[in-house]
Amino acid sequence: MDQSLEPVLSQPVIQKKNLWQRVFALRRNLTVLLGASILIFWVIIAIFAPSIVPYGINEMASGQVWKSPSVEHPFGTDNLGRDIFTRVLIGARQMVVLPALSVSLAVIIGTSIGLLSGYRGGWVDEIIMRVMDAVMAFPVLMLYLMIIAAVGASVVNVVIAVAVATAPAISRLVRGLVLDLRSREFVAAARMRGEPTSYILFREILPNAINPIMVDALVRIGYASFSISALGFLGLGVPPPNPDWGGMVSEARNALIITPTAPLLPALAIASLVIGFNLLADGLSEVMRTER
Amino acid sequence: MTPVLDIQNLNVNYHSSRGIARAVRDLSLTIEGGETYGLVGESGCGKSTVALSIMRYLPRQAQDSGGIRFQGRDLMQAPAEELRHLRGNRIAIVYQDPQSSLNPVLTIERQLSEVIAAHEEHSASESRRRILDMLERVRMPDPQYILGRYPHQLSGGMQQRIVIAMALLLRPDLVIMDEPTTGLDVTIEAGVLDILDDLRREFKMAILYISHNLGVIARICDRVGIMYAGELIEQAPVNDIFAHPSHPYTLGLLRCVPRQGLRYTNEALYSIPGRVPPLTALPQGCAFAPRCVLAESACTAAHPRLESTAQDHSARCIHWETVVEQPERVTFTRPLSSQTDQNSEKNLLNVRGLKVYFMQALDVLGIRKRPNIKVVDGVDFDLPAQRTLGVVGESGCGKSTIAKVLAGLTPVTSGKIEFSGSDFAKPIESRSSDSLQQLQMVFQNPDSSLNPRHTISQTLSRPLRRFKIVPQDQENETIIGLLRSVNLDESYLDRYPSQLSGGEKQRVAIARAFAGNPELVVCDEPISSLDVSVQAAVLNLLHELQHQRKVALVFIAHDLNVVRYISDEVAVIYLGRICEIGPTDRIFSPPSHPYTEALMSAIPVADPNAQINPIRLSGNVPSPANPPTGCHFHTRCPRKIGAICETHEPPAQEAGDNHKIFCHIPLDELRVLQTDVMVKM
Repeated sequence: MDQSLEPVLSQPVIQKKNLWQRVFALRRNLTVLLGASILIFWVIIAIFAPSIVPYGINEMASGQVWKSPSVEHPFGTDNLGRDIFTRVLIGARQMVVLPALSVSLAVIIGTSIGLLSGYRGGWVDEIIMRVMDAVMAFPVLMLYLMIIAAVGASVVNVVIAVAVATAPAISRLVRGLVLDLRSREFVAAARMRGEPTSYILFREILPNAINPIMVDALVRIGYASFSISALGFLGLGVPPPNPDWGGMVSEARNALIITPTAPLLPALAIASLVIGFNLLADGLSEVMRTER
Repeated sequence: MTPVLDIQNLNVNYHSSRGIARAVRDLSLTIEGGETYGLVGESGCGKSTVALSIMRYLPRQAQDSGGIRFQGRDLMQAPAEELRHLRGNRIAIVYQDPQSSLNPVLTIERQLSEVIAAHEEHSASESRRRILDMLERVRMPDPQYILGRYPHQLSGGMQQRIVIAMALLLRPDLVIMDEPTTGLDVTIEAGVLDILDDLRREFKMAILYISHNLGVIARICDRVGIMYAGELIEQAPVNDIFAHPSHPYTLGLLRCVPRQGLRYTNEALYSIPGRVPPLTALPQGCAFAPRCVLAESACTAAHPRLESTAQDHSARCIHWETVVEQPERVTFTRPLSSQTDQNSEKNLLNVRGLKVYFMQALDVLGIRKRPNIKVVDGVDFDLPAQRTLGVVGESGCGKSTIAKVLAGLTPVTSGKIEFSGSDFAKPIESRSSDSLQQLQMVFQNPDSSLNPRHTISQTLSRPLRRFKIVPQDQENETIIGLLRSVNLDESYLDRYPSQLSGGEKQRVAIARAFAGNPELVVCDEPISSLDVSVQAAVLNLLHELQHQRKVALVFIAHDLNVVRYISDEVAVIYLGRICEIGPTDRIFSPPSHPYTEALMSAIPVADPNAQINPIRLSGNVPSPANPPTGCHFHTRCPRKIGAICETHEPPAQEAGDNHKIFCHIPLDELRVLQTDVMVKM
């Protein structure tokens, strides 16, 4: 090539921030900061709960049921005389792990279905999406009840139930993203190289859809914590004697006349967790919007 | 007399997370009544920001200072009430996209009468009379009928005429036009420009005309200001700018546009190296210095002032006296490819009777079957190895569909595509790996043709691996070689597309297409979304690569001069059919198909003294779902000879040298008719 025709273009390399720097830079967004702080708080509680708590989780410490808050029991005791404060702190462990686990599972299922359905189109898409519609047509709680009733209440089954109920909505989101992305010219270029469908789906399309999927997943983890608590409230969640926030609220409800403060801490815990996830998701999508 | 618009030392800064972008710097200009002032520059030069600042429509993160006076009134200090009174009434604006300027749920009459009602009090009949009068002035056929229509029922050209009518309805003193014809086809653009040219003479208003197209500016403006990186770098009466450009950037812009008649066999296109600097980090001294051939240390030391170079002519360059002396011709160093070295007339690509119909969806009940849309309707062409076939036509003529069909991205309805002996009329999934390698494509939109999540080296390594071009250990070298062949260097390897400009992205896309050593590269409007100064460079590059790597090109574009420059053969397409096909030189000299003739005369020429060829097409491209009978072109043909055009498909007339014209008019007659016009040009 004639170099005199036009000099080779060269530009000073722009320093690209690494992942950690980018994550750290997020602290400037107040919404992200607040949401992340709440979540980090609960994660720390979950990790160190056994060494913080004053009593054993199933220790009937004072022998007194439904005690009002006191120095020994800052948030009172429950129907078996167990320390509520202790049980909420220990209960954080499952609430930090289970929603994240079930939504991760849902994201894997939903994303795969959505990718396939959106990229293939035609009757494949039509059939898959109608099945998803059918699943989504059930009220969520009803769906949980059906699944739990069918497979029984256990930690694993709660995770499966939430994942199955969440996946269709995720598959819809992903399908919508794919419908837009698959018409981009870089996908046409990949097809012209004869790339296998799996490469196109997971290497060309998915990386461009990952941001909205992640934000959506965060919101859904918030909802999932809520759902798992709701299942616990109905007595279909993680079976006793595990400390379950939803179950604790449910039990405390019966004792409202004796100790009105009993449901306070577990309810606050559930709310703060859901709010934390929502704030983080809102903040992240805000950051992504402005970064564009 | 006070000028209609007087801008003094306007500065506009945008505040963003990346810093302060200085979109307009120290801009001063005045426009007298009855004068049309053209503001020219590439994208991101601050042209539109000037328009928004005048209208006081700047977004919140923008901050401006300086003075903007309209008929002596200071617009910057004007209260909202006064601005409301001025806008639409005394100052009007026409934007590029008519579709977003019109409200889709209101009739044309309603939208136009609202403009009158907002500023003046008239009876309904009086306002209707004025609207009809204005619609006639913008040459709207059957204004009465148009009044009751909704915007989506009108074509783009008609919509833009409505927007212009709306702007002129109250006879404003100043009209700002921000690229009003950029989104339109050349044939439609020519018509709109005719109207604007007449109206500006008739109404004696001041116009600020913003455009990147020097041809359009030459056509319509009295004075011109050239903007670069937010600054006015040259200002002069229109004739002076074209005759004595005094800034290297102006000169570059003028020379970048392929002139009529220029061919790759004669010379390479002039191009401006580099790119517009980011407005957040402008260089010291002259902003153009990094791209300027005349640059020396004095240029980067101090910021040049706008110096007066002649009467009414000023330029922001310390070398203004020597600018015009720059050598104009750029030649390739390789031996010019002669037209005759293809003695092995073995065709690489044979296309016969190609038809692509799109099925329309059945209506809700599935009772009435709608006709198929005949996007490509019986197209034949051949392409010898290493040659270039240019395909031109207005939008909606099926050009891009032909590209997609060759690439296998759109299914063929019927017809034969034979490519170096194998059948290519099948979808991409059933082509062999060899077939895939032989035919690659460069897409129109650089933003979507590269995966935003892949680095440049990932993007380029993929075809190398798929087609096993080089062993793994030589991959990196080959990628760097590819980058160099498109005039980029290895600092690009680890960048993502978002860190590249449009022109750089398109270079990478070209490198990707050539990476697998294909025999044919299909280019679908590869330069139409790029800035003028970049277009020439990319075109040169494409051509150099083609000759180095011995590749054939199918080059699809709507710009006749570009197609003429790069092609050995040209096919002119109208409504899915070829009107004329043959060697480039033959196509562009009489006899030509009347459609080709009209396309040629519609191109705005970057020379204010050019005689305007009077051929104008009326109306729009008809819908391919219901094409006209006989010759598809008869509804718009300025040379229609009679009923035969409506009833019979035109025969292929051989004009020698494989030049075919599909027209009922005998060739000799066409030649006589067209030579007459040519002489006048």
